[in-house]
Amino acid sequence: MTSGSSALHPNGQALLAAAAAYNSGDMNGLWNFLSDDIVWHMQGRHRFSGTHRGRDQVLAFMQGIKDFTASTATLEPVDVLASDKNVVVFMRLRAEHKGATLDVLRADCFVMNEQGRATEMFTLVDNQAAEDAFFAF
Amino acid sequence: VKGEAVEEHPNVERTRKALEAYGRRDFEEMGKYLSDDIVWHVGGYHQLSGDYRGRAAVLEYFKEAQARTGGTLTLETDEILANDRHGAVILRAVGERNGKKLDVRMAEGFRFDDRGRWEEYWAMANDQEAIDDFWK
Repeated sequence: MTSGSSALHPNGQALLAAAAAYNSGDMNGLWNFLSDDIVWHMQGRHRFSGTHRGRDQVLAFMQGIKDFTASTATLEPVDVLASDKNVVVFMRLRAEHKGATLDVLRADCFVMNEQGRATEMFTLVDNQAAEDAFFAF
Repeated sequence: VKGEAVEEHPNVERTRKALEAYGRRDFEEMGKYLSDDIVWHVGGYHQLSGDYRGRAAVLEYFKEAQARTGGTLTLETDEILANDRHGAVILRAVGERNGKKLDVRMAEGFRFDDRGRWEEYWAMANDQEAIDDFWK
Protein backbone atom coordinates (compact mmCIF):
# COMPACT_ATOMS: atom_id res chain seq x y z
CA MET A 1 0.00 0.00 0.00
CA THR A 2 1.09 3.57 -0.43
CA SER A 3 1.99 5.88 2.39
CA GLY A 4 2.07 9.61 2.59
CA SER A 5 -0.89 10.87 4.58
CA SER A 6 0.19 13.78 6.74
CA ALA A 7 -2.35 12.75 9.36
CA LEU A 8 -0.39 9.74 10.51
CA HIS A 9 1.19 10.48 13.87
CA PRO A 10 5.01 10.93 13.78
CA ASN A 11 5.36 7.79 15.90
CA GLY A 12 3.51 5.89 13.19
CA GLN A 13 5.77 7.39 10.54
CA ALA A 14 8.76 6.28 12.61
CA LEU A 15 7.44 2.72 12.72
CA LEU A 16 6.97 2.64 8.95
CA ALA A 17 10.50 3.95 8.49
CA ALA A 18 11.83 1.25 10.84
CA ALA A 19 10.00 -1.51 8.96
CA ALA A 20 11.32 -0.21 5.63
CA ALA A 21 14.83 -0.07 7.08
CA TYR A 22 14.56 -3.67 8.28
CA ASN A 23 13.36 -4.83 4.89
CA SER A 24 16.35 -3.23 3.20
CA GLY A 25 18.79 -4.65 5.73
CA ASP A 26 19.50 -1.23 7.22
CA MET A 27 19.88 -2.10 10.89
CA ASN A 28 20.93 1.50 11.68
CA GLY A 29 17.48 2.59 10.59
CA LEU A 30 15.99 0.12 13.01
CA TRP A 31 18.40 1.31 15.74
CA ASN A 32 16.85 4.79 15.54
CA PHE A 33 13.41 3.44 16.40
CA LEU A 34 14.51 1.70 19.60
CA SER A 35 15.29 3.15 23.01
CA ASP A 36 18.44 2.01 24.84
CA ASP A 37 16.34 0.04 27.30
CA ILE A 38 13.80 -1.45 24.92
CA VAL A 39 12.10 -4.58 26.27
CA TRP A 40 10.86 -6.71 23.40
CA HIS A 41 8.49 -9.59 24.22
CA MET A 42 8.56 -12.12 21.40
CA GLN A 43 5.62 -14.50 21.63
CA GLY A 44 5.81 -18.18 20.99
CA ARG A 45 8.05 -21.16 21.60
CA HIS A 46 10.84 -21.06 19.08
CA ARG A 47 14.46 -20.01 18.60
CA PHE A 48 13.64 -16.28 18.64
CA SER A 49 10.88 -16.22 21.28
CA GLY A 50 11.31 -14.80 24.76
CA THR A 51 12.09 -11.39 26.17
CA HIS A 52 14.90 -9.44 24.50
CA ARG A 53 16.28 -6.61 26.63
CA GLY A 54 18.17 -3.58 25.35
CA ARG A 55 18.83 -2.32 21.86
CA ASP A 56 21.78 -4.63 21.22
CA GLN A 57 19.83 -7.79 22.06
CA VAL A 58 16.89 -6.71 19.93
CA LEU A 59 19.05 -5.86 16.94
CA ALA A 60 20.90 -9.17 17.35
CA PHE A 61 17.73 -11.26 17.26
CA MET A 62 16.30 -9.23 14.38
CA GLN A 63 19.54 -9.84 12.49
CA GLY A 64 19.25 -13.47 13.53
CA ILE A 65 15.91 -13.71 11.75
CA LYS A 66 17.48 -12.20 8.65
CA ASP A 67 20.29 -14.74 8.78
CA PHE A 68 17.97 -17.68 9.46
CA THR A 69 15.85 -16.78 6.43
CA ALA A 70 18.67 -15.82 4.05
CA SER A 71 17.38 -12.24 4.18
CA THR A 72 13.95 -13.22 2.88
CA ALA A 73 12.17 -12.03 6.04
CA THR A 74 10.14 -8.93 5.19
CA LEU A 75 7.60 -6.86 7.09
CA GLU A 76 4.66 -5.48 5.16
CA PRO A 77 2.63 -3.00 7.25
CA VAL A 78 -1.09 -3.18 6.49
CA ASP A 79 -2.29 -0.51 8.88
CA VAL A 80 -0.89 1.66 11.67
CA LEU A 81 -2.56 3.26 14.68
CA ALA A 82 -0.35 5.70 16.54
CA SER A 83 -0.48 8.24 19.36
CA ASP A 84 2.04 9.98 21.60
CA LYS A 85 2.11 6.88 23.82
CA ASN A 86 1.63 3.86 21.58
CA VAL A 87 1.98 2.51 18.08
CA VAL A 88 -0.06 -0.51 17.06
CA VAL A 89 0.77 -1.95 13.68
CA PHE A 90 -0.85 -4.79 11.76
CA MET A 91 1.62 -6.31 9.36
CA ARG A 92 2.43 -9.37 7.34
CA LEU A 93 5.66 -11.21 8.09
CA ARG A 94 6.84 -13.26 5.17
CA ALA A 95 9.96 -15.40 5.17
CA GLU A 96 11.48 -18.53 3.71
CA HIS A 97 13.81 -21.08 5.22
CA LYS A 98 15.03 -24.18 3.42
CA GLY A 99 11.92 -24.47 1.27
CA ALA A 100 9.47 -23.67 4.07
CA THR A 101 7.39 -20.50 3.83
CA LEU A 102 6.05 -18.37 6.65
CA ASP A 103 3.21 -15.94 6.00
CA VAL A 104 1.52 -14.61 9.12
CA LEU A 105 -0.39 -11.50 10.07
CA ARG A 106 1.03 -9.88 13.17
CA ALA A 107 -0.43 -7.33 15.55
CA ASP A 108 2.44 -5.53 17.27
CA CYS A 109 2.16 -2.89 19.99
CA PHE A 110 5.07 -0.52 20.70
CA VAL A 111 5.06 1.64 23.81
CA MET A 112 6.76 4.93 22.90
CA ASN A 113 8.78 7.36 25.01
CA GLU A 114 8.88 11.16 24.71
CA GLN A 115 11.79 10.94 22.27
CA GLY A 116 9.62 8.95 19.88
CA ARG A 117 11.47 5.71 20.50
CA ALA A 118 10.05 2.33 21.42
CA THR A 119 10.60 1.28 25.03
CA GLU A 120 8.52 -1.90 25.03
CA MET A 121 7.00 -4.14 22.44
CA PHE A 122 4.47 -6.93 22.63
CA THR A 123 2.96 -8.91 19.86
CA LEU A 124 0.73 -11.70 18.65
CA VAL A 125 0.53 -13.50 15.34
CA ASP A 126 -2.63 -14.92 13.81
CA ASN A 127 -1.05 -18.37 13.58
CA GLN A 128 1.36 -19.03 16.42
CA ALA A 129 1.68 -22.72 15.56
CA ALA A 130 2.91 -21.84 12.06
CA GLU A 131 5.49 -19.42 13.43
CA ASP A 132 6.64 -21.89 16.11
CA ALA A 133 7.11 -24.56 13.44
CA PHE A 134 8.92 -22.24 11.05
CA PHE A 135 11.38 -20.95 13.66
CA ALA A 136 11.64 -24.30 15.47
CA PHE A 137 14.79 -24.88 17.50
CA VAL B 1 -0.41 2.44 4.54
CA LYS B 2 -2.95 5.14 5.20
CA GLY B 3 -2.82 7.36 8.23
CA GLU B 4 -5.44 9.41 9.96
CA ALA B 5 -6.44 10.73 13.35
CA VAL B 6 -7.08 7.69 15.50
CA GLU B 7 -7.99 9.10 18.90
CA GLU B 8 -11.30 10.75 17.91
CA HIS B 9 -12.66 8.29 15.36
CA PRO B 10 -16.28 7.02 15.78
CA ASN B 11 -14.88 3.51 16.14
CA VAL B 12 -13.10 4.72 19.30
CA GLU B 13 -16.47 5.50 20.87
CA ARG B 14 -17.92 2.18 19.70
CA THR B 15 -14.97 0.36 21.20
CA ARG B 16 -15.35 2.27 24.46
CA LYS B 17 -18.98 1.17 24.66
CA ALA B 18 -18.03 -2.43 23.95
CA LEU B 19 -15.48 -2.35 26.77
CA GLU B 20 -18.03 -0.77 29.11
CA ALA B 21 -20.43 -3.60 28.30
CA TYR B 22 -17.68 -6.10 29.10
CA GLY B 23 -17.04 -4.25 32.36
CA ARG B 24 -20.71 -4.67 33.30
CA ARG B 25 -20.48 -8.36 32.32
CA ASP B 26 -23.24 -7.56 29.82
CA PHE B 27 -22.18 -10.05 27.18
CA GLU B 28 -25.44 -9.75 25.25
CA GLU B 29 -24.62 -6.10 24.67
CA MET B 30 -20.96 -6.89 24.02
CA GLY B 31 -22.07 -9.32 21.32
CA LYS B 32 -23.50 -6.45 19.28
CA TYR B 33 -19.95 -5.24 18.69
CA LEU B 34 -18.76 -8.57 17.34
CA SER B 35 -19.07 -9.70 13.73
CA ASP B 36 -20.97 -12.95 13.11
CA ASP B 37 -17.83 -14.70 11.93
CA ILE B 38 -15.30 -13.07 14.25
CA VAL B 39 -11.97 -14.83 14.72
CA TRP B 40 -10.47 -14.26 18.18
CA HIS B 41 -6.81 -15.18 18.70
CA VAL B 42 -5.84 -15.93 22.30
CA GLY B 43 -2.10 -16.33 22.58
CA GLY B 44 0.00 -18.43 24.89
CA TYR B 45 -0.10 -22.08 25.85
CA HIS B 46 -2.78 -22.32 28.49
CA GLN B 47 -6.20 -23.92 28.73
CA LEU B 48 -7.96 -21.02 27.04
CA SER B 49 -5.34 -20.44 24.30
CA GLY B 50 -6.26 -20.81 20.68
CA ASP B 51 -8.68 -19.41 18.13
CA TYR B 52 -12.34 -18.82 18.86
CA ARG B 53 -14.50 -18.61 15.75
CA GLY B 54 -17.92 -16.98 15.63
CA ARG B 55 -19.74 -14.68 18.04
CA ALA B 56 -21.19 -17.47 20.17
CA ALA B 57 -17.80 -19.07 20.74
CA VAL B 58 -16.22 -15.75 21.70
CA LEU B 59 -18.99 -14.87 24.15
CA GLU B 60 -18.68 -18.32 25.67
CA TYR B 61 -14.94 -17.67 26.09
CA PHE B 62 -15.69 -14.39 27.91
CA LYS B 63 -18.06 -16.20 30.27
CA GLU B 64 -15.58 -19.00 30.87
CA ALA B 65 -12.81 -16.52 31.72
CA GLN B 66 -15.12 -14.80 34.18
CA ALA B 67 -16.29 -18.08 35.66
CA ARG B 68 -12.73 -19.25 36.24
CA THR B 69 -11.83 -16.00 38.00
CA GLY B 70 -14.94 -15.70 40.12
CA GLY B 71 -15.86 -12.60 38.15
CA THR B 72 -12.65 -10.81 39.16
CA LEU B 73 -11.10 -10.49 35.69
CA THR B 74 -11.13 -6.77 34.97
CA LEU B 75 -9.82 -4.66 32.11
CA GLU B 76 -8.58 -1.15 32.90
CA THR B 77 -8.39 0.84 29.67
CA ASP B 78 -5.42 3.15 29.16
CA GLU B 79 -5.89 4.20 25.54
CA ILE B 80 -8.13 3.42 22.58
CA LEU B 81 -7.01 4.00 18.99
CA ALA B 82 -9.11 3.34 15.89
CA ASN B 83 -9.66 4.15 12.27
CA ASP B 84 -12.15 2.77 9.73
CA ARG B 85 -10.33 -0.53 9.45
CA HIS B 86 -8.53 -1.32 12.69
CA GLY B 87 -8.64 -0.57 16.39
CA ALA B 88 -6.45 -1.12 19.40
CA VAL B 89 -6.89 -0.94 23.14
CA ILE B 90 -3.94 -0.61 25.48
CA LEU B 91 -4.98 -1.80 28.89
CA ARG B 92 -4.14 -3.47 32.18
CA ALA B 93 -5.74 -6.82 32.95
CA VAL B 94 -6.12 -7.81 36.59
CA GLY B 95 -7.80 -10.77 38.18
CA GLU B 96 -7.57 -13.52 40.77
CA ARG B 97 -7.89 -17.24 40.44
CA ASN B 98 -7.26 -19.95 43.06
CA GLY B 99 -5.18 -17.53 45.12
CA LYS B 100 -3.10 -16.48 42.12
CA LYS B 101 -3.09 -12.87 41.00
CA LEU B 102 -2.87 -11.65 37.43
CA ASP B 103 -1.64 -8.15 36.65
CA VAL B 104 -0.38 -7.68 33.11
CA ARG B 105 -0.36 -4.96 30.52
CA MET B 106 -1.92 -5.87 27.23
CA ALA B 107 -2.67 -4.48 23.84
CA GLU B 108 -5.73 -5.74 22.03
CA GLY B 109 -5.83 -5.25 18.30
CA PHE B 110 -8.83 -5.82 16.07
CA ARG B 111 -10.03 -5.40 12.52
CA PHE B 112 -13.47 -3.90 11.93
CA ASP B 113 -15.99 -5.22 9.45
CA ASP B 114 -17.87 -2.73 7.24
CA ARG B 115 -20.39 -2.17 10.03
CA GLY B 116 -17.74 -1.26 12.57
CA ARG B 117 -17.92 -4.59 14.38
CA TRP B 118 -14.84 -6.56 15.45
CA GLU B 119 -14.06 -9.18 12.83
CA GLU B 120 -10.62 -10.39 13.89
CA TYR B 121 -8.93 -9.88 17.21
CA TRP B 122 -5.45 -10.29 18.63
CA ALA B 123 -4.49 -10.11 22.31
CA MET B 124 -0.90 -9.12 23.02
CA ALA B 125 0.57 -9.25 26.51
CA ASN B 126 3.78 -8.00 28.06
CA ASP B 127 4.11 -11.15 30.16
CA GLN B 128 2.72 -14.22 28.44
CA GLU B 129 4.29 -16.58 30.97
CA ALA B 130 2.37 -14.89 33.78
CA ILE B 131 -0.84 -15.40 31.81
CA ASP B 132 0.00 -19.03 31.05
CA ASP B 133 0.71 -19.62 34.74
CA PHE B 134 -2.47 -17.84 35.77
CA TRP B 135 -4.73 -20.06 33.66
CA LYS B 136 -2.74 -23.26 34.21
